[in-house]
This record gives sequence, C-alpha cells and structure tokens, in this order.
Amino acid sequence: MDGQGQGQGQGQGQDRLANRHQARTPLHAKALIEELDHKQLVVLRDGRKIVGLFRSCDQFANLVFQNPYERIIVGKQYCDLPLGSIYLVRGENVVMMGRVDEGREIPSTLQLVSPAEIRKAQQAEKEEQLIRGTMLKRLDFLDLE
Amino acid sequence: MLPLSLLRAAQGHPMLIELKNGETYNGHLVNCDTWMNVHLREVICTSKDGDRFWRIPECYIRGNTVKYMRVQEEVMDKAVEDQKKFRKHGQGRGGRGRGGRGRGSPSYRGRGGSGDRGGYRGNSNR
Repeated sequence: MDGQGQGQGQGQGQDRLANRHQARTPLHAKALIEELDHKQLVVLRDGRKIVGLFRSCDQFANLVFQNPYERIIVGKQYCDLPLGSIYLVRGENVVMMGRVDEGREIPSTLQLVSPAEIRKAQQAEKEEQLIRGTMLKRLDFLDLE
Repeated sequence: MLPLSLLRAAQGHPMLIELKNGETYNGHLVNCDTWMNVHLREVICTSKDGDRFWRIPECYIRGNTVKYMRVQEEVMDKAVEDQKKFRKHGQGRGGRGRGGRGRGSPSYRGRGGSGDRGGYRGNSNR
C-alpha cells in the first residue's frame, strides 16, 4: 500500500511516540506504530469507512486521527463528509486499518455527490433493504431456499 | 501522545461522543478515567436516527459503550503541552521510572527462568 515508496516511515515519524518506540517495541505492536503519521483507512464495526491522518494509538488499538472524513459509498455514488479535527476511535470498534495510497485516483465509475444526495441515497437503500427484509419474512412459510 | 492522555487533556472542553448503539452525546467533559468512563455536563443527547433530542444537565457514560469521540483541535495542542510539562516537571522521576521499567523486564524474565528451573527440579525429584 506504500504508494510513494517511502520505506518504513523512518525520518517521517515526527511524532515522538514513533521515535521513542522504534528501539524497543515488541513485534506485535510495531505493525501499528509503523503506520503513525500516514493517511489511513479504518473500517468500523458498523460499516463506516473513516479516512484520516493517523496520529496515535495504544495497546487497545484505540486510534486517534487528525482531520478525518467519512467516505460514504452508495451504489456508484460517493461522498466525503468531514468529521471535525480530532477523532478518537475506541479500539473495540475497529475492524481493519490500512494505509491509503495518496497517489491513487478514485475509480472513474464512482461519482462524487453532495452530502444531501448521499444521505438520500443512503435512506433509499435502507428502506429498500427493510422492504426486502419484511417481504422475506412474510414469505417465510413458503420455505424458500 | 496516547489516546487516553488526549482524552484527559480534553477535560473542560466540549466534545461529541457516539455510543455503540448510535446515540450521540454532545457536552463538556468534566472528568474521565483510564477505562474511558466519562462524566459530561450540559449534554445534548441525539437518538440514533438524529430525529429526537434531549437536553441533560449531567451524565455519566461507561467507557465500554463508546464507539468514538470527537474533540477540538486545541485539545491536541493542550495534550502535547501537558506532556511536555509533565516531562520537564518529573524528569528525574521519569528517568528513574524508565530505569525501573528497564530493570523490570529482565527481572521478569529472571523470575520466569527461575520458575522454569523450579519446575525442572520438581520433575527430577519425582
């Protein structure tokens, strides 16, 4: 995922946490610490996708991001909603995190829309799923595959 | 700077907390602890769908129900400053602390070693 070929992020980790830990960090913790001060994508347990500058972490994988935004994708539309300046995620809610290749462009099949539009699309999708759910429930007695 | 020291630095500042169930709490942080339990004042609670609101003068949130927290930029600066102050203030202590931790891990290993030896000796006796 290392787009610009920035090596291991040494010399980049201006954060003292990174420098201090480089000498004596157990291997299991290194994975997170090496990602400090890089742009990351985090997927939460509720399905949200958060992108932001990864600033800090601890042994519970509590994560701190600076200037993050939530990327909402519905069908072929997407929107980036800013989430304020500092964002602290409780580790329990994290599903995965990965470095974002900033040189990479957004696929042309995706179309940027306004927050209002994406909310509408999200709502529509939710309602559709709800209807599909109730339909299946109603047809439960038919013993469909 | 650790996430929980950031939370500590946010004391007295406004913040937004979303719980795992989707409700959000907007208020001023009064106090917090290392379990992320927080005490808020002047809270506005918003339901999951964002269609209902409640004004609550004071509330306490158990840390394990939190999904995420949002704080202001200033809090980061304050946390960095607090950390610096702490380092300068307790430099001797910090040094000793580090030394203690350094000594701590080998001694832990030593204990583990002796435990193994004990077990081995026990086996040979049997």
